[in-house]
Amino acid sequence: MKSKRYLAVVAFAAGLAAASAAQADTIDFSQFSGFALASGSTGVTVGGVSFTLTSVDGGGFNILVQGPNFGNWRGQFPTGETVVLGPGKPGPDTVTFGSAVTSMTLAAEPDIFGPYTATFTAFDNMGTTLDVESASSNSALNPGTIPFVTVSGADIFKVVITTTNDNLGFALGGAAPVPGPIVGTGFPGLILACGILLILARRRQQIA
Amino acid sequence: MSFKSKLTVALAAACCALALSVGAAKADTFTTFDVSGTFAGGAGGTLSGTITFDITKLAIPTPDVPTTDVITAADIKYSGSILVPVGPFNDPTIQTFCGCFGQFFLGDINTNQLSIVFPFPPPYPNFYVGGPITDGFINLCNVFGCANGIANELSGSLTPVPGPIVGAGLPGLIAAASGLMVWWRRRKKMA
Repeated sequence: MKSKRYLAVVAFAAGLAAASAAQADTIDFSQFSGFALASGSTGVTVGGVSFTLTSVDGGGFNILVQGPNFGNWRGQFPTGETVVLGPGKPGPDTVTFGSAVTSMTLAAEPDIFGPYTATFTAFDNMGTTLDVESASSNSALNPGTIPFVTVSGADIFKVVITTTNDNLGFALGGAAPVPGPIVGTGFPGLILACGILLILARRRQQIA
Repeated sequence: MSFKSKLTVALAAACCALALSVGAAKADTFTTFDVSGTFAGGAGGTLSGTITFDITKLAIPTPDVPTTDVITAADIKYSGSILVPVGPFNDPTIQTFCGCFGQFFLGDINTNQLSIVFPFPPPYPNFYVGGPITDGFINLCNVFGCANGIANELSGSLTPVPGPIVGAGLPGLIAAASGLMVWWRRRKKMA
């Protein structure tokens, strides 16, 4: 009976820690190399979920790095971040996941300087809209100012990305992984679990 | 009017006609065109300036039939202004004229037909005669090629620049002056 209670507490603590570790997944596009990336290419999210990236018309992507020089992406992403630039024409990019994710954080910036609004729409595997989130900014040579957008839902299988001012298409980038919050939120959970265990041990002693 | 003065007028007229005819014949050979127009695709924008291409690069045409051919970007030179919206990656200063598969199209936007009429059969296929070439199909691409063309579908005109007239007409004028000089000396001797 007591061992069952211990197991339940440990399971609860582990679950709490796991829940606190769950954060918005994102995509690190530096996993792709070279200059060209075909529409329909597959990769893996930071969280380990496979995905497929497709463009508006099946045209390819160019792999660029945010930087100050011509030939780089000279926009708002953090310096050094790898982005993918879709075909030079208006229309959405689509990220389709191999299994459900509960959230996804990405950013998009058009290839024409000026004001824009990026919109991210999350769908389940039945095509039902789960979440729509937008962010507005000004496309410019201004590293580190890109607004990242997170869409959330129980079973996200597809995210469709659009921007305004997209006559020449737009670049798509993922948020840099931030490991800090995982430790910061998981640690209190572990302390809580240890505290409960300690209380149980004391009660056991008292009963004994 | 005396006989001599009539002869003088006739000779002068002949020399002028010679000069003009030489100049006019040369004027039919154009390799340089004024270009102006608006890009309908991509980021949009405008283009104006001078474009020069080697007309001999075209396939030998059928006389009086509009030519359907392409000129590669490498055989084209352009100077002028390009006004295209700039972005994080697209920048006109680092772009080049291009066409898909490395070809540069000058011609109708729908047919890719180059509206140049060559009235003479070979071996004179390179004389351009006719009005402006319209609907030039010109792309402006980034370093990755036409997949991300920053501006395309130029709708405007190419007007031939008659530069060769001066160069060709001058020898004609020299010949005319020489003729007058010879005639004037003969007249003096006769007198």
